[in-house]
Amino acid sequence: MLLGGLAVSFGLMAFGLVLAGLVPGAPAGYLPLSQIPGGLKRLEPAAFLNLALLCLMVTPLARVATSIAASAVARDWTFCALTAAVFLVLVLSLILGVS
Amino acid sequence: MFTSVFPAVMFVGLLTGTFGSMVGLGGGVLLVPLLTLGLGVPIHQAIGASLVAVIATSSAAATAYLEDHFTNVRLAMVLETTTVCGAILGGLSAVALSRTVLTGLFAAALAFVGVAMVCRQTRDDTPMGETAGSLALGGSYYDPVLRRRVRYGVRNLPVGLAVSFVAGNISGLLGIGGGVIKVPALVLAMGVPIRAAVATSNFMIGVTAVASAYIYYSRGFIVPQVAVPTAVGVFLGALLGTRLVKRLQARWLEVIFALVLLVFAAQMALQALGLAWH
Repeated sequence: MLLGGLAVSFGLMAFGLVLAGLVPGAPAGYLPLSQIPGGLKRLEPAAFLNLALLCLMVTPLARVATSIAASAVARDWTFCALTAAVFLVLVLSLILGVS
Repeated sequence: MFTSVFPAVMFVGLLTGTFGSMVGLGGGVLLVPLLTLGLGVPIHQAIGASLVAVIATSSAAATAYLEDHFTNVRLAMVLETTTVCGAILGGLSAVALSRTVLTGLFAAALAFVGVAMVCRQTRDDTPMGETAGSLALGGSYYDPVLRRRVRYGVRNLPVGLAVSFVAGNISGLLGIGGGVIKVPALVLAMGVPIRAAVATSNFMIGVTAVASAYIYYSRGFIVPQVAVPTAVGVFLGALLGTRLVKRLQARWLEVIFALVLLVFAAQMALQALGLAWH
């Protein structure tokens, strides 16, 4: 999971940097989440670089989600409950951060 | 736009990633002063980049440490239950508390822990009694320097949970991973060997930094011009650091970490007195 998240993130970074090199002066700064899909369609470096950073940021969260599933499969309910609590508090923190 | 700052920022990321992964830090406490003082990056963008660096270091180092079975995932998740609560409260109270007082107390705590780690006796290979009840939080790993398997138990879980809460709180307040508190707590209070403590802290700091990172992103403080070269440098540095750390004696790791704590303590004391970069 961690390797997968890192691979996707750094792949997007590499692509975004290549685009930035091919089109000097193209926007490569911060983009709000809502503007990323449009930027991806227009092959803007900024969209790929911002998406890469977002992928990196959700990788640990995905790792926690994977731990929940793994402990459920192993019927380790104590660990499953603890991991789920961590995941829920993290999601809550994201909601609080946005609001 | 990228070519002017990319090599310098990436080099700074490489340095902090190497060192951070070796001692269980995300490198944020090193990265922010280097970016702001050394390269003139605005403070909020530097903190945003440092949070990305914390996550990149954590993910890269955790991958390597998990393969070596140094990371105690069960212990990490148990401690994260209080760490993330502390991080939320820290984030919410960040604007309400006196940063100067907090920074001064933090500096004193770092100095105390640093001195305690220098003075303590090494017990890297001493098995500890398992006192964490049915959670079975102890672990074992093969130590490449000792050339044998090290087994350990975990003691003082309530103390570890309380310190983790404080670490999360500091992380939310200052935008760092909190490894600078977690590693000493794991080693000194809970009896976890330094090698396992560093790996477990590395795993935890990425999870802790996620919430703060998203807040900084939504406010426009994570800019690719700084965060991307930082992430690339830190990732490469973390890969290098996890290889170097296997060749170091555990005692040297502790001494290096203690010295880093004392440097940070001095830095934060100056900051509290209004004499430093913040």
